[in-house]
Amino acid sequence: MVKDLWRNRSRSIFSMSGMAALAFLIVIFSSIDAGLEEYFSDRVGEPTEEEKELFEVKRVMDSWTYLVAILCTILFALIVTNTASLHIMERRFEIATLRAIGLSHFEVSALMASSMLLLMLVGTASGAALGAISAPFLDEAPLSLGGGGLGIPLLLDVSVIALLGAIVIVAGVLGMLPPLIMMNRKSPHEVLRDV
Amino acid sequence: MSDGQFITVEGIRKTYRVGGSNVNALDGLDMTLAKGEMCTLMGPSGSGKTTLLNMLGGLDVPDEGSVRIGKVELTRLSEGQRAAFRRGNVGFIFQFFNLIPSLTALENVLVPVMFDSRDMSDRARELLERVGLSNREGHLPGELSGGERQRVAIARALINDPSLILADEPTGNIDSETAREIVSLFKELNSEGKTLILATHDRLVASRSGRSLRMRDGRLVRGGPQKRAPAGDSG
Repeated sequence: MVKDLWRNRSRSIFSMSGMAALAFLIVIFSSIDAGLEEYFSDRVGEPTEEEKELFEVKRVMDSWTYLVAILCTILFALIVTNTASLHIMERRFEIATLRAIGLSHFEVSALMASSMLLLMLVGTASGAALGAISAPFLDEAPLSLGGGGLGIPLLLDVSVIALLGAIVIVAGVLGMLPPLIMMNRKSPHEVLRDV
Repeated sequence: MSDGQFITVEGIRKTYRVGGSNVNALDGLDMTLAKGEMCTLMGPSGSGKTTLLNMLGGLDVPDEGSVRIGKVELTRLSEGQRAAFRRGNVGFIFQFFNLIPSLTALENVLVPVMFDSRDMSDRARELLERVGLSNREGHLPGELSGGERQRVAIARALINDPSLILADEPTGNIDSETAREIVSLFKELNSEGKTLILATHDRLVASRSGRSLRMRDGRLVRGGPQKRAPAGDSG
């Protein structure tokens, strides 16, 4: 089944690109959030005007972090659902054959999930890597478009990776469930009858 | 009734809902088969041959009646138990071969045991050699002829050394010369003690089997026991 990903490589690349874009977004967004958190945690004394402005950014980021995380999870799950559904629909005869020759629901589901897991891993890893590479360039990027002044601090630490991992796991499980349920609902003989 | 019989089918009925109406695919069918028999199921399309094969392989369950293979009553098993039963005891061969297109011939033969801890590669190679495809093990199904694909499917059906082989129109999609070779292979398997049931329209296949059953409207009209009385009439 993993070989099928290569057979449908344009779709696989499209899905992985979507996942990579979301992973990149999560890494950058949560790095900024973590960077701001760290900057203000050890800040003492009266803040400057620029720091007040930066604090406003932090306030906005704090309220948006959860929303972005939830939106990314939903979008990630939708990509997984869509890709897995197409994958399963196109392979319904092969899946029915596997069931007919004695593979269990669990085994066939594991085969399907493994190919999706590979897509998710490659997509997420490339997005996260791109985020990690970009972070040093974005670190201390000027707050104002005109440049100069205080930059936005970025912190790419373990909490960022943990958040990304949690989103991918939750979205992967949620996204895979509907197609797997759909796949296991129809008996193999019903599918094979339609050949 | 089941004494000495390997397969015992008693009064099975199966109704499918097709386009808003009920179709009796099997209508109170009885059948027995001894171990090591080779039997063909003949009859027009829609007579219930495939449905009967599906029942015998535990792919489907009857609405009524029982199907016993050896000592196992298939109708009492859960879907998961029936899948495990199929894997260990039944080899399925399909008209359209049903090979996985992205896997090589060797990998296709190994599909039923892909989750086993045992390494069955040597056995798979032996089976490919036996069906005359030892030089084609690295080829994809798309690179094989119809007859070669069917032989890969036969090797796949044999990987777990099943006692029962069920074939649905095994020669329906190949030329007559290749069909003769496939039937010879079936005869060879039968001589080794395997029980074979072949659903076919091919008279050549039927002529070379030990027993030929004819089906019509979900019933055996020749070669099987008398049709049972409808369930409501039994008492």
